[in-house]
Amino acid sequence: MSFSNSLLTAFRGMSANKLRAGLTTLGIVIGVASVIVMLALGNGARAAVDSNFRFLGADEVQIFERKTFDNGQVKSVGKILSYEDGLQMASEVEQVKGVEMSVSNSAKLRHGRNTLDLTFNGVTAESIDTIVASGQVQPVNWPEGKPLTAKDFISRGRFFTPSEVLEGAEVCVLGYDTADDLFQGEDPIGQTVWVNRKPCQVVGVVAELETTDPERRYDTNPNEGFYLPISTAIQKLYDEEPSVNITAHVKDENKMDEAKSAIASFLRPRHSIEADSEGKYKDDFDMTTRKDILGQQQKAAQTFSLLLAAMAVVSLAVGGIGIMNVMLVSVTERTREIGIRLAVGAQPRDIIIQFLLEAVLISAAGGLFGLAVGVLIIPVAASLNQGVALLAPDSLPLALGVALLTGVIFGIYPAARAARLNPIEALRYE
Amino acid sequence: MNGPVILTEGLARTYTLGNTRVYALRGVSLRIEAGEFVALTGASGSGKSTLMHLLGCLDVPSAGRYFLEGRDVSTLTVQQRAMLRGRRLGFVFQNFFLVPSLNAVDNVALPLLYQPGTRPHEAHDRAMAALEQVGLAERAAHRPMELSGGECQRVTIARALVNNPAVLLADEPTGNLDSTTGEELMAMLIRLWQDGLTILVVTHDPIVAAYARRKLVMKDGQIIHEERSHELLQ
Repeated sequence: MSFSNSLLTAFRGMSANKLRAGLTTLGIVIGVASVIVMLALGNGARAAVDSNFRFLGADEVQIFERKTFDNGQVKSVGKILSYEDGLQMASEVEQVKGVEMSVSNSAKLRHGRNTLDLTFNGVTAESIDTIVASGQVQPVNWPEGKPLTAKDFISRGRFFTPSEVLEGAEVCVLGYDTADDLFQGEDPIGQTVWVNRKPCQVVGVVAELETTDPERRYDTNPNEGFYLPISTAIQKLYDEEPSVNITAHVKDENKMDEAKSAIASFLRPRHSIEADSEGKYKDDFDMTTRKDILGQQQKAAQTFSLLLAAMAVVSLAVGGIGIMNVMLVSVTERTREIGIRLAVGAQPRDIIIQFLLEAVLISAAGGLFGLAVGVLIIPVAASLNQGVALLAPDSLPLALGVALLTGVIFGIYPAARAARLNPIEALRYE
Repeated sequence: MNGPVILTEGLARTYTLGNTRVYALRGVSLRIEAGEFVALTGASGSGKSTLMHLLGCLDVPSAGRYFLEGRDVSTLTVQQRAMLRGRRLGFVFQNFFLVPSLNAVDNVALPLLYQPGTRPHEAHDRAMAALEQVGLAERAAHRPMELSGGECQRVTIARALVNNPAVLLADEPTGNLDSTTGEELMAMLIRLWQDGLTILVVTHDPIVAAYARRKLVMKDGQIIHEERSHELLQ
């Protein structure tokens, strides 16, 4: 029998008992919907990490001071992460190829009669490359797909150099709006501005920027603020040495754990941290990588996903057993029909295909309905999981495939049983 | 075709029921020529249905040989027997055995759909032609439950004819029909026979058997008597 005829025959068989077939699909519906939601949670976690931590490159280890809450106040648990820690790390930790550091605070910026209260960023010279690489901001109206370089981020002048950072040069780079507000049309390059009454020569102005994520466009204005060499900021703008945020670039991103151990081993003696009696260290710093963040985010979704996975497996198994049961009943009810078909020339394989297709049609119907239910449930699951659930496009064919496979697996036995019937006995069946 | 349509040599069929061995057929040798109208009669349990199942390739003999159109079919595989049933044999059963979910034309087309290479529209056209042959074309779209017993049996005959079989095997064809409808049905079989079809009717009804030109009487799994008639019951 041709495939189209087998399909038509199977469809007729399924349609003969619509309610029964419909109820049989319920297990498959729940199972497929669970698969869709489960994969959406995993996908959502990944997307959230991609979106929120894009700035963190795959080769980067972020190191920051560990703090604790004490009587409602944030306090350091040990020594600060110093500028010197960062400088030495770059030269002494073999696994590290480069180090970026930053401090950030607010300051008064004055030029002539104009004074602005702004956030400054004390950074290393390479930070501009990291900002470019993060992809979080871009020059306004930048053509999509066109590659960006650090030069594209500077509209006038230049960014400060590594030697200026090492020397603690009194130079700064202004944000686009800040330059506009402070100089109001004048050329700021080469002019002196006063940062908390400390002089600073403007060497560059950042291009007008916009955030690449439209949802974050109104969070902060990337064109406000200014950049200083971190050494200058620490020397001139702080009474006490501040803790710096260190980003270490690792030589081999496949050996992140090894690099983290090496960094910890480097920092511990500098911070006078010794192992306790159990050989454990009470570090006063924390380290994180993109992989760590992804792991944490996925761990949060994992419990929910595990529950859904269990539900999916149980539902699909129950759905499959339901299909098997209905098909066995169908084979019994239609024993005489099978006998007729065998008597007029049907091969056993024709009977197998007919009943297998019927089981697969039931599971496919359940699978399609389950896809719709799953897609509708995703927003609900997202609200239960901190808004982290995103439909994974691959999950649709996968879930449908699982449904069809369930139909095949649980339909084989009834189909084979039908095909094994003796035509004479089948015709005599009452 | 030259030679007999059906030729059996010492055909036997035994069953085992628990510890008991049942000899349903004990060495039946039979020869039916093309264009014959043969009635197989006998009391219940005489072995006539068993013989018809063997001749219809629905069962395999325990011993002996069976040649259909000169081909030894007693050793065929399940698949080969299914193919042969669909291509060279036509069945008419007492209980009609129509698929209830299919309409008349789809029931008639069923044997064709299991033949490799037959297109659905071709099967439909041939099924319609077969229904016209039995005078039921206008009822093609009706399902068995919407047809009378006589109409159902005519659909069964159309299904048996649709493959242009070598022999039509009818098992108690009038068993579920009233006498008038039964007579009409037998008249139809006579017409088909007159058109050249080979027919073997299994019946315990002497009136039905009287329509045949040759009557074989079975008892205890053997053919014990044969008689020929030169006049047909009209």
